[in-house]
Amino acid sequence: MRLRLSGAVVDALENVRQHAYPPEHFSGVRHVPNWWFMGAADRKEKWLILAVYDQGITIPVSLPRRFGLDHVVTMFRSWFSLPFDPADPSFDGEALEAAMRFSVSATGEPYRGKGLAKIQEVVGNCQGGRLRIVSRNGEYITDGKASRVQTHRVALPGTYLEITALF
Amino acid sequence: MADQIVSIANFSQFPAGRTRRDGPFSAERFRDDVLVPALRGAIESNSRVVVKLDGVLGYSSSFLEETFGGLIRLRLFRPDVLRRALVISAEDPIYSSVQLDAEQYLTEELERAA
Repeated sequence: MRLRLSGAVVDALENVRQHAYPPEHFSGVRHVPNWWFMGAADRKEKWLILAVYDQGITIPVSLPRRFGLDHVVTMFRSWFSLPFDPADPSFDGEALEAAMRFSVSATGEPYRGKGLAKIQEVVGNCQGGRLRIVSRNGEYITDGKASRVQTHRVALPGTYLEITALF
Repeated sequence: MADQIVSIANFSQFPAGRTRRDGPFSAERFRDDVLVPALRGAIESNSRVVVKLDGVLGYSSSFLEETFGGLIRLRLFRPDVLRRALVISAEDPIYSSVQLDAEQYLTEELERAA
């Protein structure tokens, strides 16, 4: 499990590096283009939490940059019967699910963008595994099999990815 | 000729990243500076390179994909020659899922190239 979880964390960190801080987005804006990693474990209760946070552009904003606005709009309407506008956070929960679906289907350059799907797969193979992603107003939670999303009224400035597992 | 063993753990216990821009122990650096020269030597001498996955503390999907899928995508070797010369190995069973992933990335690129 340790090997799989450490791979999942590196996938999360590489996602931050690849997508969270596009230079053109932050041109002239003071920012800290870093990630923050947190971990906790309870030996008695036998659970652990690993979490990565970044202050980047968030997943909903990154979607059209990665997959093309027209394609995201088309797929959003097909999957959720909803409009997609990266500036509108009303459906950020669905935007996170869309990001996962794009990763699972390897949209775009087919050899890239497997990170989120791999993290979800790892969580699905861990006892008590759970993945929680909060990005801007969206939240996506999955045990690797079923998932649920919600959109909050208050935005998180960045993306928080949390993996929970029993050991 | 005897197989040549290439251990990724000897390259780094913490390999990460796809390209050299991503860090000092990237897939691009491992593939181009370590694996490709070993494969060229093996092909010339009609032997094989056994890449050992054991001993690394964690593999990201992009490191594995760029290392193994990249061998085909960049057309560095003829697919049939590469398949004969490259063995992806995991002695410890905990690395068997990594071995499957690496084989899958290689196979996916072989199918795209076909």
